[in-house]
Amino acid sequence: MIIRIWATLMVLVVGGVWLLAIPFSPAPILKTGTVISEYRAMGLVPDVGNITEAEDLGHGVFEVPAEDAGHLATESAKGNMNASSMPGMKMEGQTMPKQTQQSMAMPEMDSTSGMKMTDKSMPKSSDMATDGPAMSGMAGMKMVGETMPKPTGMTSDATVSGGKMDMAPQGTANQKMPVMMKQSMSAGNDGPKESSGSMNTTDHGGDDASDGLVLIAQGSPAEVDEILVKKGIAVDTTSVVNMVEWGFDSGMVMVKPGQKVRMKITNTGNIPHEFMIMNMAAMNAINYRLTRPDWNLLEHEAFSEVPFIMPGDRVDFVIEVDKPGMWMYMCMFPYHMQMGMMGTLLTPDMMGEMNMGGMKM
Amino acid sequence: MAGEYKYQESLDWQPEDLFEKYTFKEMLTSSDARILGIKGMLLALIMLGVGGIMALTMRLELMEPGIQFIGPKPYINAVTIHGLIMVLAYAVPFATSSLYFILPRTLGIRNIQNAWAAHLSFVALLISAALLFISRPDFTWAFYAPLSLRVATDMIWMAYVSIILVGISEFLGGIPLISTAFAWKRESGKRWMEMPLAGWGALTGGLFLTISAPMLSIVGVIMLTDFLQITAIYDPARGGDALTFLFMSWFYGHPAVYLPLIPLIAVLYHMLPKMLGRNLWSHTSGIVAFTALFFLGFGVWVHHFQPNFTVHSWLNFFYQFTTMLIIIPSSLHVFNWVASMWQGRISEETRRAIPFKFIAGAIFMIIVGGVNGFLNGLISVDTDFIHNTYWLPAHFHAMFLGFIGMMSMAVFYFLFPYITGRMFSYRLANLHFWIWMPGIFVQVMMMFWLGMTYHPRWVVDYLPLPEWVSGQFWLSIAGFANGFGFLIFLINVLVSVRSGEPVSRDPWVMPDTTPASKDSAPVTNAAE
Amino acid sequence: MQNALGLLDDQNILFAVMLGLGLLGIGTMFFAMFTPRRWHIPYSVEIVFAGIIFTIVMGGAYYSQKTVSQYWADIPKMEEEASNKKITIDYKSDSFDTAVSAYLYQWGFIFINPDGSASRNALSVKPGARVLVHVLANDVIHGFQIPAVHITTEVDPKSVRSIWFRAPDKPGKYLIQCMDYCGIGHHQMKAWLVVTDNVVPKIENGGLG
Repeated sequence: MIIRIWATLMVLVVGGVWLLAIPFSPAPILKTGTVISEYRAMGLVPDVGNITEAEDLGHGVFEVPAEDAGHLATESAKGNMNASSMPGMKMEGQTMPKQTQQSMAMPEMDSTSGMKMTDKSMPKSSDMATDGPAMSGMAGMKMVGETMPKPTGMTSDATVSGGKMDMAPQGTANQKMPVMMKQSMSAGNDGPKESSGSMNTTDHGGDDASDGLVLIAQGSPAEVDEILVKKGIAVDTTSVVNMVEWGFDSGMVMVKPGQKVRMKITNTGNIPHEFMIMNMAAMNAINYRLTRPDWNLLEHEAFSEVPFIMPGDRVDFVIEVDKPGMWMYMCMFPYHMQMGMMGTLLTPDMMGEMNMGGMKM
Repeated sequence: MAGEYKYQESLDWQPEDLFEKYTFKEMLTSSDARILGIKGMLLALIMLGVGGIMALTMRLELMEPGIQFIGPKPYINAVTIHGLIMVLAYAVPFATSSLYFILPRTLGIRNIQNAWAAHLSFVALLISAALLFISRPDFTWAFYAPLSLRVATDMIWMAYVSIILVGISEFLGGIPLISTAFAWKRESGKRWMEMPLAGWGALTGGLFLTISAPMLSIVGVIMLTDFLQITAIYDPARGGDALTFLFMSWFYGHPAVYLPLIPLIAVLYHMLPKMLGRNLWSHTSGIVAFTALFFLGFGVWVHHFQPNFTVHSWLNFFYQFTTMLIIIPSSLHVFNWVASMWQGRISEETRRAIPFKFIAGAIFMIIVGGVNGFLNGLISVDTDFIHNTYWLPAHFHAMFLGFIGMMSMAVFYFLFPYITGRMFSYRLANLHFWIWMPGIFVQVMMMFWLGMTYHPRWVVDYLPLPEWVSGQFWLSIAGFANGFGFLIFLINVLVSVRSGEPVSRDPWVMPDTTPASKDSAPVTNAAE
Repeated sequence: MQNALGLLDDQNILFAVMLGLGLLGIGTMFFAMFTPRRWHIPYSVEIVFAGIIFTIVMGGAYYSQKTVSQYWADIPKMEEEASNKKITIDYKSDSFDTAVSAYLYQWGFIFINPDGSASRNALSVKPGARVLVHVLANDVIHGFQIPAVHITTEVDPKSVRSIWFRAPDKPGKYLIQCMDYCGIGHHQMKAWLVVTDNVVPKIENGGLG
């Protein structure tokens, strides 16, 4: 009798705990804290504003899987857009290392450990549902037991050089993403790479245009000021976008067609972030490998990108919006986007496409 | 050798059906050592099931590269619960409870002392486990700060309280062991060196519990106060220091591995002679081994975070030195057991007996885990392919799954006739053994292989390198096999309790085959 | 670490010892279980046995101590000035070809050169170069492992773990991975050690900023 009670208990407890922990596992939350000020004091990390991107590597180290092209074609076709070429291919003036560059082609391990890595052999993650007009950036997390996390502001008392953190207000627009892909959406994904600016890759000189967005300047505030003066350009609007964990405190940047906007991106958070602007098609196209272990080892390019911004640092972008459209800006470090680091850059007429204050998922 | 303690007769019980004799309520409240033992062991087996289902979930996901079933968040929930429950809610309670069971009889005293502490310990463990399950922790079983202060839901404070409570539970659990050993001294009036090894296991094991467990509770308290932002001791971003956490938590964390080991070793010292039908090879050797392990056991804990603690000086080498030394007492235990086996021919009856098979399997696995500890402790090798690769889980699964898992099954099968009055199904138990023995061995070997190839721990998904893919695949197969073996065990228990063959005499009496022994019974089987 | 000193071969000896001991233990147990030979082992055998184990493990400890001391001797000392708690790094640039800060965060790596230039997830070195890495943790305890050069370390926030290695001779990309659970993105926290003949920024007068 007692043993039967015991056996029943066993089944109930084992089943109950499993249910609680696995299918009903709560959404991931993560508070953050940093000690970067200590390392800056030691001289091991450059002070605010003094860090630059190393130029020698270029982005040739990070390859783009061939599979990306197929996904991009699919995604672009959905939006009935001009499917532009692959991210990273149409670069003008940039010494884009070819994939056959001998030092980068086949990563190997030391012979004693005998490991070889081929990027091509990465399997598709089967849960990356990118079908339909669903917001794929969020759909990428539809794993068992996970629900969409709300952006949690910084709740720890961490200080960054500069002072206390901002709390990202709950339910900001950055959490709710536009779902529709309308015809007027720009598929102008990443045309040419950004020009000038010390916070980024090689210098091309000159503006390069993609569908709907033109990058005029990018870099530290002083550098951007300089470029604007040199080109004799005045911006029409400015937008302050602060990075926090987990989101941008401005989830939406609205620019009228034909106007130039200066986006002041400051990392007021506790961990480094990147900043990239992409269109929907390009963002969905790489969704299939977003949570794969080789994410950091491969390239993910964008129309405009800063590979990292340290806590406290700031990068400015000056962008001219030519046509009506909607683009996304985000941080695509592992899980940052899923935790809420995404925002929208759009023209006013696109607002009508979005539901009142919220999106259809 | 008049007056020498006869280990082979120290566990002589008559079979009876304790489940008929006691009601459910009486079982929960009785202070009889056997009932305390059964209560603890049964709860621990439920926890084994919980830990096991988490393991199976992890194994299912890891079988192939890519994320198929569960994402990183539920995966790490499974990892955390698997680790915490297996160590703190299965291994330690099972071992302690089995020692409670045998202690009075082996020491020749009436009952266990301070049983109230054992009751409280049981209740504290129950509450602790419940809190842990509700809080759904996701910070791995080592709960390193500051990550553990920043993840999971706002209910995570329950997990910290759970840690505090389990420390209290362990502290209380050690009290009966210590006081019973002292009761033996008082009542028998003999010298300490004459105390049976069960008593020595109780003394050292109980002291390990009472000295190290409070540190676990203190760590839990500080985590709670740090989480509530009352203090900033472990959080570097607010002025604290994560190294403080490492030093404090591993001060408990190393004795934590001896908490299940020592009681089961003590039980082994009494079970093995009985299964062999002759006395232990050396009583004194066991005392030396227990004592040396006790003193050294508090002096090695820094090796758990060796690559993190780089003072670049004599302090690192001190802990490497003590870690090397601690291999010796464990080797003495194994030497004693193997030497006991060499004393006389092992009879067919002994070899067939299920408890003996599991004991042999346990000794086999502790040798595997122990010799590999030699490499783990050396800083130069540890910082190559050992630290936090799969090599570490290989080591502690050889110890926990291999030794403690096999040994607890040996104990349970051994005690089964004494507490139910019936014999379990030999066929099912044999099947259980022959699934677990290769299954555990393959599992551990696959983990060693993955460790050698630098596969990291705590990852839900891995790069599809061929070594890793095949290693994980066979590891999962072995894991599922072990799960199946546990299922066989459960079926055996359930079926045999009702319809197992009743036994009226002690079923584990073995012929003594020691050559030229005064007590040797006639050899019943022909020589092989 | 082993590879940095070219002593990988000695690891095989330790392995052989480990396997030998294991087989000895298991073998004697099987012999006892399955053969009719008996032996009442005298107590002195155990003392000899303990002595042999002691010798073996002390030999291992001595070997490891020698290797590790040699390794650590090359890492520049960091003096802490008690007055203003400022730590100065002595780069010893004649010992190393490159010195880099590896900044570990949730969930990636930023490698910072002394001149303030930095790369995300790629540490670029020349073939055969001696590289000094100051491993830093931004937020939680992270691990840092480069399998190809056999070095693993762990770092907690506010600490600096200095390690060095000799880059492989063969150009290519080698894996760097985080070895401590640091959150939901831990399994993605990987980077490349890039061994290439392209120019790598040199150390100028030591120090950053």
